[in-house]
Amino acid sequence: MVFGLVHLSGDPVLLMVSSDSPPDVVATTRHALGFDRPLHQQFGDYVGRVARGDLGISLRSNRPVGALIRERLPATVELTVAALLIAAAVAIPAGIVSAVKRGSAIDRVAMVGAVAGQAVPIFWLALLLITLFGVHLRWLPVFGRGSLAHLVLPAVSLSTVILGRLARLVRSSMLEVLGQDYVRTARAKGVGELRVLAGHALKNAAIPIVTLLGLQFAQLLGGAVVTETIFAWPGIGRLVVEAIFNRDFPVVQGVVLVVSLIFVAVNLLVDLAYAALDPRIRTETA
Amino acid sequence: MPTRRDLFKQAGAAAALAALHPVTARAQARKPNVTIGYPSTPETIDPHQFRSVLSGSIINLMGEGLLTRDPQTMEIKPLLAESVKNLNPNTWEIKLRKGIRFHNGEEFNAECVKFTIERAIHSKLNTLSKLTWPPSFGQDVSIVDPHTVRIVTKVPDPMVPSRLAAESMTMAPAKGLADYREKFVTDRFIGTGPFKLVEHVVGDRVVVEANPVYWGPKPPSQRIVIQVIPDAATRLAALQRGDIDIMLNLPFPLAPTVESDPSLRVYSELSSLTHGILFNARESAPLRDRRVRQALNMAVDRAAILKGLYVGRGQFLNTVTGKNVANTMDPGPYPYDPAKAKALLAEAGFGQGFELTLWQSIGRWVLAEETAQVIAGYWDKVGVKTKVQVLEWAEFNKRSGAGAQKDCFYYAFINGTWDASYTVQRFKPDFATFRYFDASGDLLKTIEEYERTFDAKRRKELGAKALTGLHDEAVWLFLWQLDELFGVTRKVKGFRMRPDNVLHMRETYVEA
Repeated sequence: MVFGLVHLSGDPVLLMVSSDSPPDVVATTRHALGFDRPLHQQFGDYVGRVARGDLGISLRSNRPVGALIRERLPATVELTVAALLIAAAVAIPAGIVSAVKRGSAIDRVAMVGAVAGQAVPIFWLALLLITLFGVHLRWLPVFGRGSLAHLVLPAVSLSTVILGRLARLVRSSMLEVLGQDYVRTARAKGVGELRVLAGHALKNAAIPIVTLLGLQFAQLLGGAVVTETIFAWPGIGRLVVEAIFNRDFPVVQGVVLVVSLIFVAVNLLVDLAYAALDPRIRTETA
Repeated sequence: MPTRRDLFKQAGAAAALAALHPVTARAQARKPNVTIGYPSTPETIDPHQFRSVLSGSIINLMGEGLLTRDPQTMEIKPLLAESVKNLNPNTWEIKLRKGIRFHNGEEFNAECVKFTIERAIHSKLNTLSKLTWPPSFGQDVSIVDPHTVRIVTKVPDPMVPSRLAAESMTMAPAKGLADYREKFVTDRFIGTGPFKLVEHVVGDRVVVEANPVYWGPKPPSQRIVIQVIPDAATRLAALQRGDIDIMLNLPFPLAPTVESDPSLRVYSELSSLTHGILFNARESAPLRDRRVRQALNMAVDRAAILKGLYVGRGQFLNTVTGKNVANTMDPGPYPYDPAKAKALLAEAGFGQGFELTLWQSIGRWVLAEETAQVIAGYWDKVGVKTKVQVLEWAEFNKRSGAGAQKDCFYYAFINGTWDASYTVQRFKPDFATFRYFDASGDLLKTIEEYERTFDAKRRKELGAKALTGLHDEAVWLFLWQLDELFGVTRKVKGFRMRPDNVLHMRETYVEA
């Protein structure tokens, strides 16, 4: 599908040659790249190459697509994992507190914060963070990848995409679980509140949370474009967006393929995590 | 037949290089590194594949051609060539400088010149050189001795020195790149220049360091880092923090922020891009009439647009070639005179006005969409009902080059040879691309003679006559050249943009 869509988007040769190019230069370039052949032949060749592990050569940089993805993927994985950890570290406690203190001032503040987190445009927040922590306070670097300090601002910016949604989900899941009989029973038996929340309620509320984290991880791998652009973070989000603008078909196809494979793998891991979290699923499976 | 003999006769290595590297003589405490914030990824480090001026500027640090241009005057000067002689209209003899070595230790000689021209022009590669010096010129390179070559062209070509001075004709090592005659290089750069490639991390940075065995004056900085920071606000923040020393593509609205910071300054140069609206005088019935085209020029208050949209940062264009280019001239502006415009339209039989479509691309040139809208408003006021239509860039560019844009369209041109002939030739009826107005009669004869003429004085006269003729024909709505803005720290010295937009970074350093 991606192969068809990128080819529908137009002729990459027109972006590769200068506007002054005579028609014969355009035709020669098109022939040299194989774009003058029928689409089904091009697709057949592509599938054959992919089956051999060859994702092709970038039309713009003339470098192997596999090498480009290998260079850029670790940066995006690093950023995504950091953003998820920050989001989880803030949203899970906030969601639990909101659920336990339902209707209180803390609950209201936390939920207003969660909605604001979802609503604030990430580019605006990123520039705000850059101005405050980068330019005025000079605490943190504002671009590039390298030390842990370089990771802070982009990861915090990106975490807001997940944070609000996750906090609300934790709150609603916890509210549902806290009303269950086994929680009441645990409290009646005199189990401490912390143990009730962590050992009984949170564990049972974890399935939707794990699902959301898994899906967000996979989505952010290909969707952290704005963050990567603002912070000059050399990840695959920027790689694929630049490739789309340049109609660099092999790169677009390669990135989509790799991200799709990761998406499937993460979903599988999430499914396996269900069984680890909930013995009933293991029993049903058995 | 007039010839240009001894064009670059023994210009003298010491004098030429001293002129190119004036700062090296000064004693100054300097930082070892310069970091430059680029807005986009250089598309390649292959000396012959690059398209953008940003990539060309990086290649200029590491590579050298037979000739080069003075960064201020754009005068052509010898670099790896000692002299260039025009033996006859079709033959050029080039004596090469001796004792020069590439970064890999290989000696620069006539074999390398032959290899370079064959790779850049006669290989199967899609190179930039093929556009600035098309293979149809039939360049044949023969080796006279290890340090002398002759280039014979099928057609007389007075522009050979200009073509050899382009970054796209950077010399490559015949042995070092022997396996790359028919394929692009992606992992190395082997040049003769003052800097050597350290690393090229695609999408992130290019790092070069001083070449310890450079044949010319040693560069003032040990290392130059080209750091890609796509977002302009982040680039500015990095400049304010001191993480980078120079910021490219400073947007007009951010210039006051830089000006208000005592440690920073705005450096601006007039860009070589010439902006205009091209009239399709071949197909659009009203636009075939010169008076209509002149009226459309008089109907637009360019000063108001330049001030309102571009905070006055630019200069008006009054013909098809920009300022500074060789053999250019300024025939003066069409006045802003809506009453006269209406009178001219009535005289041409369009007193009741007519409808026009103005085509525009998305995101290609700064504020061009807004400019098109404002111009449409001015034309509406004199009775020309103008509809602005927008197209995606690749399709827009394809139509523009193919002569398929109806009515009129916004475009901006570079000048690939830094001579007025680069744009003037487009008005010949047999030109392959961008044909919207066919010169005829005396104007056509002038353009054709200009293209064939070698004599410098005569070329200037013919260029001026052709440019005046194209102004009088009002072939475009002549707009402007805009300023290119850079944010730089006050400690940066020796950085400049050449008038053709190539960055001259060889002499750049930062005071400690």
